[in-house]
Amino acid sequence: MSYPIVSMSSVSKHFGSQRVLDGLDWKIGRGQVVGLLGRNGAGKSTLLECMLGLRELDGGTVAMLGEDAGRLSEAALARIGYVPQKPDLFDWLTPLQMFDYFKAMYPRWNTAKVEGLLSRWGFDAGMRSKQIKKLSGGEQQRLAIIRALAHDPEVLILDEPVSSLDPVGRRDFLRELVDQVIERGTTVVFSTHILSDLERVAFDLAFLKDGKIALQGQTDALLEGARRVVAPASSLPGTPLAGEVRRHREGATTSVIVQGPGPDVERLAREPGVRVEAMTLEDLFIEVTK
Amino acid sequence: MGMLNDYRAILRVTTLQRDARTFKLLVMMGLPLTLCLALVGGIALWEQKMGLDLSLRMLGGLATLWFLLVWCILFVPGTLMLNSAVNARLMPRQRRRVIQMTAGCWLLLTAVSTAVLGKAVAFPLVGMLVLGLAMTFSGNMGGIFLIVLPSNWPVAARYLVPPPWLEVITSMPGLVAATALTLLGVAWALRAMYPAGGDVHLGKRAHQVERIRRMQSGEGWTQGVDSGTFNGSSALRLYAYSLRRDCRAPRPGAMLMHALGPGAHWSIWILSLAIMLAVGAAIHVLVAWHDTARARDFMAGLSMSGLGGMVSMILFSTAQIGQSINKTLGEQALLRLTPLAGDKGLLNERLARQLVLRGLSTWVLLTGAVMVLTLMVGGTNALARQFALCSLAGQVSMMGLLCDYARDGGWTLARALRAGGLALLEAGAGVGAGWLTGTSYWGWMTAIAIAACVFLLRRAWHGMLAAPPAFPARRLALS
Repeated sequence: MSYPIVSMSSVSKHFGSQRVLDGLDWKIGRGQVVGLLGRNGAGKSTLLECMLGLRELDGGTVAMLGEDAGRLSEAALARIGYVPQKPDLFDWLTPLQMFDYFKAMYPRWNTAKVEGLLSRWGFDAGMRSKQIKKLSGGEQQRLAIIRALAHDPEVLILDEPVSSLDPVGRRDFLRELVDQVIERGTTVVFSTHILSDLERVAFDLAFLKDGKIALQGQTDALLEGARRVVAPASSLPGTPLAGEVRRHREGATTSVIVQGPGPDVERLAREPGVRVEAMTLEDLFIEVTK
Repeated sequence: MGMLNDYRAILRVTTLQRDARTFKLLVMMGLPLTLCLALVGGIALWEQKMGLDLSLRMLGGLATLWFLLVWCILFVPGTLMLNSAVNARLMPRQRRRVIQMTAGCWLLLTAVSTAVLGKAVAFPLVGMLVLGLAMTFSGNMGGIFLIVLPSNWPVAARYLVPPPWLEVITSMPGLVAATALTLLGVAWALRAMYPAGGDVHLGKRAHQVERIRRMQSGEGWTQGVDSGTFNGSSALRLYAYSLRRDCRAPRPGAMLMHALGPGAHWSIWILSLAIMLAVGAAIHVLVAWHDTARARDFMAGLSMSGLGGMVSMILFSTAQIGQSINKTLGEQALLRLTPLAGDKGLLNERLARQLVLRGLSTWVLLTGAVMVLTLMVGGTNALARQFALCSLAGQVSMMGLLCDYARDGGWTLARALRAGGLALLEAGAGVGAGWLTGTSYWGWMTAIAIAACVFLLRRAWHGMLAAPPAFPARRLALS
């Protein structure tokens, strides 16, 4: 089966007059690890929710694991793991009771993995028997992650999974993600604002802007190929440069972001008064999502 | 087997593991009462004072009642909590299973209750009532509409429905049609109660969870009489006047109560009382003008059901104080730092005194109104009964008033069930004492309720004074 794990075509979604997704096309292949980036309110959570069929679409189609995302079969559901932005745990239960419940509902359940993660992430006997509502926000987030990983999903969708975690918790989570999930060939899509985490684990990046995927590519290639050309407006041609992503004029100076610069950028770099700079992920994020 | 495993897992997390205290309480109250009833029924059967059929129906009724309570209080709200927008869409089988279980329990409860009543024609009404109770206990106030019609059907069928219509409704084809409509309605209601994800579900989820939590903590019972929603701006004007007056000559106790906001102020009752008295007076005048046997019958029915309902206002009269205490934690923290609060002991003593004064004055005020209305609508015959019921309700309302607010925060479902159980015991003791002495049991009920209230208040008073400072409430609850 060679179908993409996720295939979104002309997806539109609006809330009242606000258009959040606007004819978005996106394909995610098997085993890809994609970091989804975008400003606050850009629609990352909505995009992930539409991807999972949690929201009705105003236009377009979404296929997940080869099935219509709005009508996923039980077999497909058992292959998906999801950590929502706000963990929706059964907070009247203890962690052990909650895992017992989910274990009963999923056809496959990796008890050893749950046990290992609980131990490694500091859930001692006392915490395991404490009501979830009495645990801290970070501890609840860890439980939500363990729950999503426990049935060894083939697709893992993570909506800002580390937002409530401290640096140690984040590091533990990323190690787990790399060692136990990515290494096994799981397809992962996750959104985050912590760019250093993305650089560590995401092989692909996708930038969401104005309801579309504005830029997508392999992380290394994006960073190696991204250049900022700063030049007097008069030095630049009126037509877009090869790989031009964005052009911004400030007074007499114009700044152009290019991805995968061509010979025209090399030529410009030799002209007086023109600077061609490499970019960090943070620069790229700011420039692409501005 | 897989299906049974699913059912078992859902039952465990929604009932046994969800609120073990409430479950134990229901069992602890249900078992002795069932045993007592079995004993009484057995003796009556032995002495041939009661037939086997009636004995079995009586036992069946009690068992159904406890099953209904567990289903309404624990199971249905629990399954609604499970059915989040994410789980409804992504958890394999979960939504289908909870709908199957809820529908199955509804059908069983409705069928057994109808059998206990011994009237097949009651099936649609009982079904509505059972569904309405489950919805209301899950924080959906729309359920009250489903409770009102079946509860008032005896009166409505007698006075409002024309006899030919009634004949059609109670005939076999009418019953079949009504049952089919009920089943369709329940199927629709269950689909609406357990949505399958989507925008609306995602959008309303936080509100739904909040409503269930409020209902489970006892706060939801009084949300209709929250400030500004029931009495509107008139109550707020009265509250503002009272605040101005207290600010001119500050008394620490009164100022402490202002920290709880207008929702806990006496003024929220004034407009409601005025409306009720006006309606009572209008009915009285109307019936006096149109004095027929049918009108007198109607009044008798009204005095039983309407005034009985008014007593429930007394039951919940203090619940909104607990609600306000749980809502104004920030204000309480600020107030704790002012000289008004006094030291640890003083704060609790001042608050306890004000709470008792507020609770007692509301009790007296509402009892007075019920008495006046009883005189208007039901005549002097019903006065003793109404006073006894008001006394029982008042005693229950005072039970959650004084407590360790630093940990407890007022009314909880478990406390409400305990108070209800105690009121039942007091009523039983009153009936027993009346039977033994050959006097009216209403008088006994009143005396027992007031004596119990004095005893419990005295104990709770000492408990509250020994407790940590009450403000901010519930700050020690999680430790």
